[in-house]
Amino acid sequence: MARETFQTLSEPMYYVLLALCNECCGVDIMKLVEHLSHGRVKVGPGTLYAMLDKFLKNNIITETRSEGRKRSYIITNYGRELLLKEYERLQQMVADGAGLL
Amino acid sequence: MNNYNKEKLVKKIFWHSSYDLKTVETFLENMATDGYMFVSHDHQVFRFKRCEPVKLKFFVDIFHNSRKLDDSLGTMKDEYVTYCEECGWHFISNDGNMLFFYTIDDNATPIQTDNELRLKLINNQTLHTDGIGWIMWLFLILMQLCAFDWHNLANALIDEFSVLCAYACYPLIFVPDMVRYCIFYFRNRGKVKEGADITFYSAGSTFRFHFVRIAVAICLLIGLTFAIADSIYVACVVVAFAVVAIIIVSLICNHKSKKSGFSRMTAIAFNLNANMIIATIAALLVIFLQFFEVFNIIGSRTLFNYNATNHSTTINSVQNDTIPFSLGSLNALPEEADTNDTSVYPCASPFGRYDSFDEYVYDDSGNIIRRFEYDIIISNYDFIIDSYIEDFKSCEPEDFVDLTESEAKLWQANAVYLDAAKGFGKGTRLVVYENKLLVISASYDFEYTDERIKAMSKAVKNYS
Repeated sequence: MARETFQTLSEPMYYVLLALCNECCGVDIMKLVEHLSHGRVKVGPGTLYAMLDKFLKNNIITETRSEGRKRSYIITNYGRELLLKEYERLQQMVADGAGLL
Repeated sequence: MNNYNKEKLVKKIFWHSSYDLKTVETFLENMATDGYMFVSHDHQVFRFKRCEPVKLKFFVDIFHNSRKLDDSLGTMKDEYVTYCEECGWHFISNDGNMLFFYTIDDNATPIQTDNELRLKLINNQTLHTDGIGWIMWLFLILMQLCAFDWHNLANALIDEFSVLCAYACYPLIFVPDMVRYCIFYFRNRGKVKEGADITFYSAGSTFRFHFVRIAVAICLLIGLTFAIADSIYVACVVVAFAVVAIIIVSLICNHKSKKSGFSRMTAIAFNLNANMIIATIAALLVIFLQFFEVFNIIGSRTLFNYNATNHSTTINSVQNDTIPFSLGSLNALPEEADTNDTSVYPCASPFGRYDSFDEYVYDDSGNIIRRFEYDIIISNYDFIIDSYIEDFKSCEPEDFVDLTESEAKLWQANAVYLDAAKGFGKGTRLVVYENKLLVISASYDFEYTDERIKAMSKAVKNYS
């Protein structure tokens, strides 16, 4: 079945949105993602840039500040909904597996 | 690093396709190890400046926004570069949407960690840079294929050999690249969805592939000029056309123009889409006209007229060595003849020769009073000789006469045919020898006497 855009989030997307639960910018997002995932997930600057652009266009995040070339973002309510849905989906998957594994 | 200084730069040509990113990165890393620091890139030409040998890691990225002519892009690209620089990647230069970075940190996070996205960017970039060219070449080859007379393919091996070479060779230049890219893309498309890395072609295979392409391009040039009477002339014409086409296309499509950011020739403030449409159509027209004109000229043998040798003689002149026979040598000049004029049209290829001789006789008023044309076709390939014979025989049944029984012995030939409707005068005769054909047309008052037939036959047999 074809997946709708943002119906499920990839790992990097999930962690970036997690990082943007608080206002954050640029390389700080990358560092935070690495920290939150305990070094497991790394997001390159190119990937992050494209991802932020996509999130902005889909109103998942919003720009809060712009200081020269540095721009800060934060997740929107819609973005938070998507993130929560993904979190619940992952929890459900873990719960489904727990019974058998 | 963005602005290279005025010291002398070393240029190196490194053949690669637009999707050979890893190969380019490896090349730049090797050059840095050898003491050459990358400065800038323009198509296949890389510029370096000398430095201390250093171990660096390079990354060739494709900026995801393809609207490279948008004024706001400058800001976007700057922001993007800032992101990368904050992660330890140093921006060197860009060539269109291709951005070149380096880092001294072996453990730096790659600029693109999403392989699916990277493959998508490569795909967009390749279709953008090469796709138009591929479509254009396909369009050109289809136009040429439609214009070519495929029923006479065997004949064309002699008198249109250059055109056939062009038809064969120039698709070989671009079709393999299309196929190679499709293999690359579809092989990786499934893999990246499963989280695997993109597999790029190795440096060795890239080198071999482009080496073959260049060799084919050289064969194309050689094939275009091979065995035509004045091959240097043809080669010059072809090269001149190619140079003109390249210059015009560069002027139209030069995206380094400061004023519009795209085209020197359309430097008015059109919007992006209009600029691209104008440039694409103009480039297509220019290239199409150039190639079509060149191959049309070669194919129609118009060019051969420049190679013709004219022998203007008086009626008592001795036959020129290059002409097997003429009305003069056959004692067939009319009494009122004042001058005669023979044009020779030679044509040769690895498959044989096709030489045409046209003689016109004039009276003292300059009027044409007799005409005499013949072609001598020589080939060691039976299928070519047979093809010419079949072509000759494909006439109306009422016009065709088989004169083999009555004239073959005289001509000392295998067969003699007449097409009464072909050519002029009494029609055209085809005389078939072992590996030669004589196709002859003469004015009504020319008589095929035994003496003349024997003389012509001897001349043809001795002709090589």
